[in-house]
Amino acid sequence: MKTYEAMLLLDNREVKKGWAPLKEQVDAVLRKNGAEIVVAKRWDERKLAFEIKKQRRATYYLAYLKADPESVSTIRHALALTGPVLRHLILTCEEVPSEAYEPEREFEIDKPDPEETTDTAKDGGAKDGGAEGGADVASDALAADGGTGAEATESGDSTPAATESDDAVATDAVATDAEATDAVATDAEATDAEATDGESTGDDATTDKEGE
Amino acid sequence: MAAFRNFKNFTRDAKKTRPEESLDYKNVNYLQQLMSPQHRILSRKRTGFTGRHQRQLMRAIKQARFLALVAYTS
Repeated sequence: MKTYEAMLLLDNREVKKGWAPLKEQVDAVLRKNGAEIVVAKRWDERKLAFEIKKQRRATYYLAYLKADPESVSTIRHALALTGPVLRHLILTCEEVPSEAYEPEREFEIDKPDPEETTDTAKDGGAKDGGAEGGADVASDALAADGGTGAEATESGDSTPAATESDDAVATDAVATDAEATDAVATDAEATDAEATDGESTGDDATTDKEGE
Repeated sequence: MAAFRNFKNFTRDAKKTRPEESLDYKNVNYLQQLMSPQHRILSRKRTGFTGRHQRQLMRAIKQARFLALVAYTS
């Protein structure tokens, strides 16, 4: 029998469901595969340096075991197949340190880090601002719609006049458009004439070629 | 020869030192002191450790990296 130190990384979602049953489950896995648990306690709950299985935080579980060297591989295999265990590290140690016998410290799960809170505050503020901006725009649009609707209802009797004036404006606009198109057309004709002048030599050349 | 001696003194940042704390993967704060801002392991030239302690440091940092206590890179 040798002494081993096992550090397990446990999923916080499972820890939230209940610490005692999860601890029992993990200890049962260790015992079932031939390990004798000397001390086992929750080491820390902290933010991970990088995401593991899309988890940013996790709980570290430290256990000191006595087991045969042959059973360590089976323990590793069983831990790999245990759902709540994100990662595990089993190392040999000469003796169990005295610190391991200290009682477990109490701590909150998902305690917000100062960095995280500032980040989330920024994100949330931006999102809220965007939502507020969107709401403002929507309210403005509604107000505009309401205003036009009100004007329409108020000027319900004078709608024919309004349409007439609109039609007159529209015809004026069409006329100006037509003038503009005429001007463009004249310009285009002029350019065509120039082009035909310029191309006349070429045409002659082509006709000459065709004649040949 | 004098220039060579100066060069040697310039390149060596630290004298041979012993680790102030235990080189264990759980001692995260001390391990981070022995890493660069880009989370690279400092060389023996920077740490001043003997070969034995430098190997212990390397192993501890790699174990801490595996358990996401320390970042691999940044």
